[in-house]
Amino acid sequence: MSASTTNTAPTRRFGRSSIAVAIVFGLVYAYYLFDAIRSTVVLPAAYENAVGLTVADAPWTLLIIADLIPVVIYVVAFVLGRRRNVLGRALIFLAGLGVVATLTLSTIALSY
Amino acid sequence: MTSDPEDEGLSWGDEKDPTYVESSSQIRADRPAVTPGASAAERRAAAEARRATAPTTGSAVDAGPVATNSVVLVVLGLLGGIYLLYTVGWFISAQRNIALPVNAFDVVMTYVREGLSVAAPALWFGCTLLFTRHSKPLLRVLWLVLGALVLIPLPFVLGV
Repeated sequence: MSASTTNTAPTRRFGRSSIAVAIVFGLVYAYYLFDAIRSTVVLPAAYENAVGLTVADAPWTLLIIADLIPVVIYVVAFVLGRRRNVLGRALIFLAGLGVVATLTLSTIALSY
Repeated sequence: MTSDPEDEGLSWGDEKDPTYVESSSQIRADRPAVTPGASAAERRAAAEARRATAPTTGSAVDAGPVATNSVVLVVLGLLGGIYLLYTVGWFISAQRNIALPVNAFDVVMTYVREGLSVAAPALWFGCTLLFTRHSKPLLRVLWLVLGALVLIPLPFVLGV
């Protein structure tokens, strides 16, 4: 970890607290990723069981976008936080979670 | 000027008015026109306003940063209003519970997600203002415009 980050001057080192912040927030992001993947599995199955609908009727585009949102936002938050201290990194991860929440709720709303 | 104190509050005084104070922006705009290219004036101008450009370029450029800042301030205010509306939109949408939780842990995380969505506009706005303190005003505005696009409360807009 430190070997790769010490090469670039403006990037701050990842101390233990930064790693802890990245892991703790990563777990929350991972839950929303799990939630999106579960929807990708469960929702098409529910479509298949419903009368008059097939798996193809499931909102596949939205389901796949919803799967990507937590991963993309986590990476963006991680990159934006590189030059910040631990508090800054935590704040950016938190704001990123807010973005994940709004975007995933938007995909749910669009699928209605 | 009228001597009636009742009417005095309804009119502008001129330079002879005892309460007249020349504004700093007026002084700054006038200076290059009075002494164009004077080295003493240049040094004084550089000391007074670090961000001011060379005085020889004229008063229009000198007044530039002041005008830009007020425009940026108005834009920031407008975007702040939009973010406030977004917060209201997400708050109303959070009352409707559109995400269906599967188990007990999901219920907690659903509440967390709704809380995060309500807080998201404030978090983005706060983070942008905090982390772009030393950046160009245009960059701040662009980040806030990006947030205004990303954080649109679609569940509220679509009436879900």
